[in-house]
Amino acid sequence: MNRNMNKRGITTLMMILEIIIILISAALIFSMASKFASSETTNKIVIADDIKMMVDTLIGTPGEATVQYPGNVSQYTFILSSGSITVFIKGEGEHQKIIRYFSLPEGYQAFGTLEDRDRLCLAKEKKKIVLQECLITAAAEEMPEK
Amino acid sequence: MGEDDIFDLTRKQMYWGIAAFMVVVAALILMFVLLPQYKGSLVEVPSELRAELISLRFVNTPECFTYQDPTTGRIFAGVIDLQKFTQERMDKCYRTEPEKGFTDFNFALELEGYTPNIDGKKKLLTSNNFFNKVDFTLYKQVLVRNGDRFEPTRLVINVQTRI
Repeated sequence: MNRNMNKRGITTLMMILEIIIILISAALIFSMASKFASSETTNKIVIADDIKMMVDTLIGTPGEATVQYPGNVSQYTFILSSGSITVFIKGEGEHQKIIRYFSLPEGYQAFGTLEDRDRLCLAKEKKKIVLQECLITAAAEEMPEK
Repeated sequence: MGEDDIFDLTRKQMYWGIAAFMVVVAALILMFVLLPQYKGSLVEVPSELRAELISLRFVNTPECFTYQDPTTGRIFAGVIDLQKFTQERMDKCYRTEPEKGFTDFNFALELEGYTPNIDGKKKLLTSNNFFNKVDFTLYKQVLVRNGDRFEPTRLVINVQTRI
């Protein structure tokens, strides 16, 4: 009888252990997925894709125009060149940088860098696409409301 | 330890061996299949939108095909200058990387009623990595400046997303 009880105890213990392991695994997987969903990599990809599309739109816009990125980008660093946009966080390695390539018509140039700034703007001036801080909007936001 | 206990222990070991293997397989599937797919779905932008934005230049940019008044410099958005609608101009307007450009968007343009037929085939203006794999087509209502006349037609944009 004692042996039977001992055996039952071990079985129960094993069952509890199994349940704990399953719960831990599920929690790990869930936390991994949620971290992944809100990860900086995803944000960087979204921003880089958005800027690429903004450049394409500016090229297809006659005349001059300025577009403000709708969001705070102070965490990121941007490098715009005539063939690509690079988005990364200061101090990150090369493999963590997100690069998106685009094609400009002949004669067009794209350039500009931005770091530690809340607002990002892309301006089209003749055949130049410039990435810069949104000076006008920043100034307007600082003005007191009447 | 009796025979039954040994059997139980072995059964448990086998169970945990199989369970551990399954967990590893599940983790690998999660890391290399499900999470990338999930990430892809989070950041996905429809190809049609991307292509639409890139192709804005074909109808609005004077460095591509858009008519620009030589005197005033005014750009006539949505008006194609027939003189500019050449392959040479297309190469200057949109060009993908020579080697890996087939993974990017490529286009073949037809200006309805103005694209010449050579040996029974329409001579489309194509970007440098277009290989006749049309994924979808965009249509834009445009005017064509032909001499002094403005004639309405359609710009047909065949889009190849990637090969």
